[in-house]
Amino acid sequence: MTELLSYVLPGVPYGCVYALMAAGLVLTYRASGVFNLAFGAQAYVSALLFSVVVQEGAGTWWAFVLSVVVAGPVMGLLLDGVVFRYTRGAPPLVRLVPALGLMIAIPSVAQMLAGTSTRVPASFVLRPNQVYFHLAGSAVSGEEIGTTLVAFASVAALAALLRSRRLGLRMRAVVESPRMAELHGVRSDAVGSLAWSISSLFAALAGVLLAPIYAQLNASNFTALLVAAIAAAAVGGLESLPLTLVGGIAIGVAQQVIGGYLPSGTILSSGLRPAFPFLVLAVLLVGRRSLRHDGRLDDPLAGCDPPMASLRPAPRMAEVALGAKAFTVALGAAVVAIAVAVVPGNWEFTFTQAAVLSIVMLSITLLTGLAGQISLGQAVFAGAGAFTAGQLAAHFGLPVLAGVLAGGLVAGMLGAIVALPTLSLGGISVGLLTLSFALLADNVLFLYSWSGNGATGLSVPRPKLGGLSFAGTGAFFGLSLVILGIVSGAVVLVRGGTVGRQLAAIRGSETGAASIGIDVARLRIVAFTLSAVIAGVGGALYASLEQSVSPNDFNYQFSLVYVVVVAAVGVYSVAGAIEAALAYTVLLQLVGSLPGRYSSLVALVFGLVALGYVRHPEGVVTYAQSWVLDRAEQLARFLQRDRASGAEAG
Amino acid sequence: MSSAPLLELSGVDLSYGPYRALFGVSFTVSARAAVALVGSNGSGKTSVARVVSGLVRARAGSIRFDGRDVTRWPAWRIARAGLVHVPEGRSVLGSLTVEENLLLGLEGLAGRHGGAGALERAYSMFPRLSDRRRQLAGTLSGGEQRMLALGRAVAVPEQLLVVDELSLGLSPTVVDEIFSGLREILASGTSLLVIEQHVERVLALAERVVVLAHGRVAGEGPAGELAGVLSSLRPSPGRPEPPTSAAGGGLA
Ligand SMILES: Nc1ncnc2c1ncn2[C@@H]1O[C@H](COP(=O)(O)OP(=O)(O)OP(=O)(O)O)[C@@H](O)[C@H]1O
Ligand SMILES: [Mg+2]
Repeated sequence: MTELLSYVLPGVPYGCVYALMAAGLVLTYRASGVFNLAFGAQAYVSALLFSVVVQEGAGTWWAFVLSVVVAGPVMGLLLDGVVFRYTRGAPPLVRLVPALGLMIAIPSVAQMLAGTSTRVPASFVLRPNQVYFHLAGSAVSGEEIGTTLVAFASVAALAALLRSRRLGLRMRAVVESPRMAELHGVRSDAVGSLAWSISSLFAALAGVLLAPIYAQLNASNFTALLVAAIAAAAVGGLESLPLTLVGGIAIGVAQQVIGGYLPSGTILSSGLRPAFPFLVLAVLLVGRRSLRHDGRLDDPLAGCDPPMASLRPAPRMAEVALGAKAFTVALGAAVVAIAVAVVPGNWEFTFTQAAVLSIVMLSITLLTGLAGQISLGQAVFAGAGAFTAGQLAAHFGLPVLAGVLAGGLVAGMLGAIVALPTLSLGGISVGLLTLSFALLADNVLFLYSWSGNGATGLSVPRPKLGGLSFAGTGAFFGLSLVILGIVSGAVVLVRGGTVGRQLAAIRGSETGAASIGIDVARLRIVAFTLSAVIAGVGGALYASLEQSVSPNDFNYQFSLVYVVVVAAVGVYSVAGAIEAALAYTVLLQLVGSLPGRYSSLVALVFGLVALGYVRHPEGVVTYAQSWVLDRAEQLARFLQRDRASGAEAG
Repeated sequence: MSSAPLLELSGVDLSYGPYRALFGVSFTVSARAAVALVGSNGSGKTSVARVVSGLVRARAGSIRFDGRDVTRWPAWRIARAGLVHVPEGRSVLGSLTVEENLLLGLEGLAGRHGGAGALERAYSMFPRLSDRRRQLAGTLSGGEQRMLALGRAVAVPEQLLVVDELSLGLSPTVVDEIFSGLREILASGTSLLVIEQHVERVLALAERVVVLAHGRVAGEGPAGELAGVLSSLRPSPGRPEPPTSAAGGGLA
């Protein structure tokens, strides 16, 4: 009993911090319908700011005021005013992509400003290290007492605020329809801003409270915090604050108990502790009815907005279309020619990387662009393909090209398995479920010697085909172009065929699609499977290109980055995926020559571009292209008219 | 003050992105008067209501309400100044209960009016609502939802009530109930701008009529005199629709 208590008690403060984050998440969700995935990043920024200010010599209270009381609400107001105000009532993907962009961009800004040097977190509550009393044999420190008290008080205050008629009622009105609320005299924007600043205050508080337990402040610690908080919020059904508090504490305690009782030294015990919240979240998402759907209510006044621009490219004048096609082909040929002939070796490698990455990106084109499903776990499928090829080559001497195929198949099976529990879920829940799957893979699945082999990883040879060897990067480049061509062709074929049209139907409306006799569940499985096959093939090729891979090459951050990059550039076309991969790898290579602290510049660029997704869901490049083509068309019309009138006069 | 109109639109243009919906619309609503706004489908009636209540912003022209220029005001400010807009179609907040829908309006309107008395006014005009105070508004029938939306205007007597096709899809008896509600609201001193397809019914209520066609005011005058204009506007099977304007291409 005392042993159990000695594990339970230290878990309570952790759980309280989870609950604090979760309460903030619930607040923004209830006030604006946005699932703010940038929350962990906000906590990270405040924690970083706190420790920087303390190290500059200011007192902890000053640091607290600056990093929590000021920075928290300011961040919230910025996010609301610049981005999320415009996503109200938008489809899940539109609400998720900017949040993902911020989740990636915010830490990279913070890192650039604060540098990559390790910051020692500072603590501020009571006298942190003093033991105030003993409970059931374990020492209770000032930090633990303080954290618990602060969390309870904050959640209680928030609950009281939400129960009040003024704020609670208005918030529910605004989340259903900001315009209808305005017709009732409610300042919808002000209500939204208030909710965002309070919730961001909670994120900042959670970040500063939790920072002391990490030896080093880095963004992924705070992603883990975010997922634990999402799980706690899920316990409360994204609604009840008391249940959220209970959920947070339960998760915090359970993590400690697992750590205490499982035999130490195994992957399961070291992995399960961090992965526990992901498992809880996955189970809750599938099990709790209230979480399945996006909770999006149709705005009865949506008709006030002008219609959205069509995602289908507008038909062009024949001359302009021909010119554009010729230009694209010429540009592609030039890029390839330059890559092969002129550029130095490392650039040749970069272009090869781009070709291989294009294949992985195409998996998102198929799943998100065609079928409208969101997966935040595509890197897991790529990893599955890579590790399959590596293991088969190492243990059975299977040729790598066969391994690439096998990798695609294994990834496809994994995709089908992952698709099954998502079938009854709405868009954002699918995203969260696949994200917890990705984190589970990082922490447990990929660490075994039969899979990703942990930090050591696997070595994968370059392929051979008969007498042909692709050991050289140039030859490998050719090979990956061929495979990219095949995969692109396959995506185009799928898009043009019956399946593609059915996928387009479920992207528009699943209910509508079902009502005209489309088997939505089957199609969703098909889409996930095909997409996973493509990702697996890409991942296996990537492994062979790099010649060695480890789970780190496919961690959850890549899953997020891939989605953000493709969505930013253009998720609805094959060209978009290729351009996304090219832009990403080239930028990465360019940034590689800058000092280390700028290494996250690429993430920042794409994260910010992804914010434009709200206005231009077709992607920036596609938007720019159609802008240029519009101008070209105007010019062509003008010239034609000119010629016509000239002919008349003559 | 009493001679100036309560609501005055002058030269209002409106577009939705590239689609133009209103072209220089001008008309007025006097205090304590009822004006009917009629016109065929797509003529821009709903757009007028939206631009008046601030849901969409005019591209040109000006709107004065109660002596102030409200052209650039946000919707919440116009609502607090005393204009209630009951929009076309679903016009209540479905995730709130009946009572909460009424309370939201009261709170938003600065609490100038007694809370309890206001609720009772609404419930006594539409007793059906009072049995359903705790029911989610989204689960009310279509007619009950319109009653709730009107109840809001009854609860707090405001200066101007804009209603958009309140009778759409309702049975004749419910339409009667709603129109007698409107008449009571008018008698209590609130001005009305009524958009309606039941032209006969609305002509019995309103003293003035504004006719819209293709986003323009096609006629305006006392209800009695406009019967001729109205019948000429009603599209009949034999006659082709007048050509649509080329601008934007969206207007019909
Ligand atoms: N959100 C929008 N985007 C683009 N065009 C719109 C939008 N809303 C309305 N329109 C167009 O503006 C014009 C006027 O529409 P409006 O809804 O005001 O007509 P209405 O007179 O209320 O018609 P009805 O009697 O059918 O309700 C129509 O041509 C319509 O297609
Ligand atoms: Mg209308």
